[in-house]
Amino acid sequence: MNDTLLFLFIINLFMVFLTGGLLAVIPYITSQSPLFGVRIPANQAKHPQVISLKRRFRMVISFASLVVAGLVVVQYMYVPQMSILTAIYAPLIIILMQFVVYIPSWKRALLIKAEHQWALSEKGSADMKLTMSRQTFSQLPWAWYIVSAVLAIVAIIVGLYLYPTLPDQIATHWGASMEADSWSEKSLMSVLAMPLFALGMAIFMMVSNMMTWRMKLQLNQEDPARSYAQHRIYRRYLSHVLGAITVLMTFMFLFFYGLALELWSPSKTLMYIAMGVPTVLMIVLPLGLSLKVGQAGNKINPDILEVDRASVGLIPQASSRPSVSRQDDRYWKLGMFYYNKEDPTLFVEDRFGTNGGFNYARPFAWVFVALIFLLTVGTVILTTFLYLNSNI
Amino acid sequence: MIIEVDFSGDIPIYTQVRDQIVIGIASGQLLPGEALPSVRRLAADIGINVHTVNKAYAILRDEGFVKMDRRSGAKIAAMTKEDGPFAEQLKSRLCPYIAEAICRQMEREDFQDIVASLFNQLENTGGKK
Repeated sequence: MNDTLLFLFIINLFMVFLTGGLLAVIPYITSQSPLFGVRIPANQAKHPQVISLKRRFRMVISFASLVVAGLVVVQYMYVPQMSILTAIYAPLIIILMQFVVYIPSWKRALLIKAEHQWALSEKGSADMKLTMSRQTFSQLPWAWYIVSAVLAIVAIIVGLYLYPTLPDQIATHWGASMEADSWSEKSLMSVLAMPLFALGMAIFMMVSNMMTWRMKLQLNQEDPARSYAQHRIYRRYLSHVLGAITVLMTFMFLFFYGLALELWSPSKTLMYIAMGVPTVLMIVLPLGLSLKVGQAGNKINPDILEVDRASVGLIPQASSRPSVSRQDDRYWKLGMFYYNKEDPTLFVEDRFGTNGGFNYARPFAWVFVALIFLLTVGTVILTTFLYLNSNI
Repeated sequence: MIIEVDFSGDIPIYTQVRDQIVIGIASGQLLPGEALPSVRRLAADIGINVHTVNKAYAILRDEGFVKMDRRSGAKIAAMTKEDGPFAEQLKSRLCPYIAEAICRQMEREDFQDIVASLFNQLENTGGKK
């Protein structure tokens, strides 16, 4: 029991430092995106006031994370049995804390923008070919999903075919030592659960990939041609990484499926390799993606960029009045939540990173968020309740 | 081909969209038979109202640049040579610009140079792709 608590304590500390560290560097790694939800001109990103605002955010978050870490240590020293509660509340506290620090930063960013009268050209744009392929999913790398689905379906057929010859007990779980440690009665469900799950996962991943295509893009309107070129590269890599992960996960599911059906019985070393290599790949691929995307600017085909820029150059320039510089900041409540009744899209690229968010003017967004909120709150309350009851 | 719309300018947004699609066709970046995005999708990507794009598409259809089909959506139409009515229209549309050029004492050659360079630009942009 003490070992478990120590383990939890270490995990808790680690989580506090990890989330705190990530939150502190977010304004730096997302330097292209708006400053705390406020869009500023790209050439002002190095303005001393912008830099000092980011630095202050980093300092406050770091300091607060240290305080939370201190609390975790105190909790472990005095009431170690509460470590499981800390595991739930510490990340919540950090997220809450980030929110509390974020809001003054957002207000300050608005002030800085107003003070210097940083005006952004009020422009919108679309890349016709990209819009078209986003509409029809014409360039989605289907092959990854077809391979995954076909593998899963073949596995289901094999399972049905072998069903009569299978033993009465089917292995359903393997421990860290790669020995089966849990079995269930043979039934169609217990035999086919694994490939059915793999199939469901492939479909889920495909739908996720389609959703990333439908997201509203955040573009640098100062140079839309370059922005679109970067986005095309990002989307290609992202789709292939998602597809590759789907195939790797299918492979892992079906590997254990084969073990359960006793189609193969590899040596332990082979099993570790069969599990280890895909796991490492699944971590490395997304990391590689962020590196690639960081360098996406260098990969742009200069010919295409030139043609796109030339075509933008041909656009009749409206004799624009001095713009009011509200840009679309007004659609981003608290700089975080997109709310635009005029905009029919449901998913938008969020302004902080590469994540997606909702258009909160759409009712479905609220349904979804409410579900997630209820799930989270439910889990927290249930765990707390169970913990309190177990003590009595 | 990138469409860019200026919200703060004095040109109506549907006119901007219409003009740019015509430019796209002229420069060969949009080819006859090519499908255009749906009204809803294009509106979402540019960040404008659906009705605005609808109006632009309707104008393009009436002018013969785009064919609308209930099932397959909007497509770039194949254009045929036509001088009569267009030449007349062009005259009346160009007249105010020439008048302004004369008022601002622009040389006839300079005006013609601008026209020639725009012709070149449009014809060359598509050639590269």
